[in-house]
Amino acid sequence: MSDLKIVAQDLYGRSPMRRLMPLWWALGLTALFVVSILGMNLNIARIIEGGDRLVVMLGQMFPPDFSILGRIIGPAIETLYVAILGTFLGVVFSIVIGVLAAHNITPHVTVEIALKGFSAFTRAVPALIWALLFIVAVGLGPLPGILALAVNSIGMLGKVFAESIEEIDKGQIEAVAATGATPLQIISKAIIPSVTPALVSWSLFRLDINIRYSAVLGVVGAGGIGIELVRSTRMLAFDETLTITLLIFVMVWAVEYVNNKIRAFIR
Amino acid sequence: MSVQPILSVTELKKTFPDGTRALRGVSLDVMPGEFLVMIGSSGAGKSTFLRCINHLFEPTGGRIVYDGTDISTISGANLRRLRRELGMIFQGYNLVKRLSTIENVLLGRLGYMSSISGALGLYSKQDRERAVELLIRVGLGEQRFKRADQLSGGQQQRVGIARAIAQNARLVLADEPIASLDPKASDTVMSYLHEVTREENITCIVNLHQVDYAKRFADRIIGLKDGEITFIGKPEEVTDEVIRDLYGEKGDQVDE
Ligand SMILES: Nc1ncnc2c1ncn2[C@@H]1O[C@H](COP(=O)(O)OP(=O)(O)OP(=O)(O)O)[C@@H](O)[C@H]1O
Ligand SMILES: [Mg+2]
Repeated sequence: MSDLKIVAQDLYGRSPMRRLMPLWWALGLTALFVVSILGMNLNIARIIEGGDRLVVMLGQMFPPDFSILGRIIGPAIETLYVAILGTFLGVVFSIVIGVLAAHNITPHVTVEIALKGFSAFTRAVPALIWALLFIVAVGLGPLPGILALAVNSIGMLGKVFAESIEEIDKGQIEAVAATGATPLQIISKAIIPSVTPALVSWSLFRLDINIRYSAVLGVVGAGGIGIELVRSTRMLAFDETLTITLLIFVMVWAVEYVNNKIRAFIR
Repeated sequence: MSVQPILSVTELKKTFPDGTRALRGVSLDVMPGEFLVMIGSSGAGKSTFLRCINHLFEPTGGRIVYDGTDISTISGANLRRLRRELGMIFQGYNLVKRLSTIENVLLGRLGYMSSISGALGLYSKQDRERAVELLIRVGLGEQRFKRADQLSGGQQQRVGIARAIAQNARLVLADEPIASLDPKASDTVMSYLHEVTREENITCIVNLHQVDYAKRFADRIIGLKDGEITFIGKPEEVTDEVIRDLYGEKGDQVDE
């Protein structure tokens, strides 16, 4: 009997408990799902009722009301500006942070730790919350949106820029240092050229993210088209909602398209 | 009239933080215009020696005098001023791969420019002309706008030579410049290095693994073993016994 047991373990290489791992995961996740639903007092009736309303809303969305285009094009462009400026500011600060925080070239480990901590913090706080904070600080409008996206971008870009610099072959840095170059020259002539592809593609990726965020930030009053979206739904003008959604879609798609073109160009 | 050595090293020691004693007291005078080749098995301390001279490593003892000035503990702006006169050539070429060939040669000019204009790459017309001239001299005039990573190993090392010469270096430190190259490219690179430094009257210290190349090009050969100089002499004085002593019983200079 004990011989058989050994054979069974040899065949599977794990204990029965471990082998049933997928089952435990499935049970655990199901439990989590059920608890969440119960916790929200959701019931099937309400979900079905919601489905009905959705159908009605979808019906009212068509045909989309394109007559409002003239009115929403301004806010749409503002959304684009917010995303671009936020990304731009974020990139500039992230380059500085990346250079100072990269382990291989940081002026001091305490600088590295402080800056990596700072970017982890800005990353951990969501863009929407940054927007709310900046609205309190500087008032409504596109400015808090720009600042929120800039700060939130630093969280991601500062980290990835520092990591890209840390991956540079140390020999290139040494060689330029050995010519008698100053730290600034080493950064601009050895480090920046080596990380340009990573820098560009991460920045564009971030612009992609920021254009989506910036459309949403308007909802809390941080400039752009988001406020139009909220207004139309409050007024139950769903044909306008659809137009605005389509416009956001076109903007996001256009930015992504241009990004892909640039990314293919820079290698 | 006696000529002053361009580099005078006395009892140079380097112990790494992990306790490795890479140099145990190396003394050596290098005369202006000399082409010196340093041989020794892997781990003998050849790279460490070169890197202590331009302070890529900090020496832990001894004295280094360059051109009459004590540079043992030099740092900051003085170190940068020193480094521009010391060209370095690396086994792995260490070109900035995403810059063009000519840009890589121009890096040799950074030490002579203000921090800002160097960072912005505002090289003077003369600097650019000189860079092109140097590239032509190492046979790469046509390749000057090619990206460095598109060149072959031998070509990259020739760019490395041009970069060192562009510095107006008076002393070139070459750390196994041909270790990663095939025999044909090795020949070309060593010939260019020898020829250009002879023409410009530049002193040269070259670390080599290959004893045959050492004998062919060197004015003087230094044998380094376990962080100490065990042989100094003319190429013809490098006997089989010397080789055996440096590289162990088998007398083979290719290790690992
Ligand atoms: N950064 C370092 N930290 C600790 N030990 C080191 C370091 N660099 C080199 N060493 C050690 O110092 C000794 C000399 O190394 P060095 O690189 O100077 O030898 P080498 O003669 O150039 O060898 P090779 O022919 O393999 O290049 C070796 O034992 C090596 O392991
Ligand atoms: Mg070495």
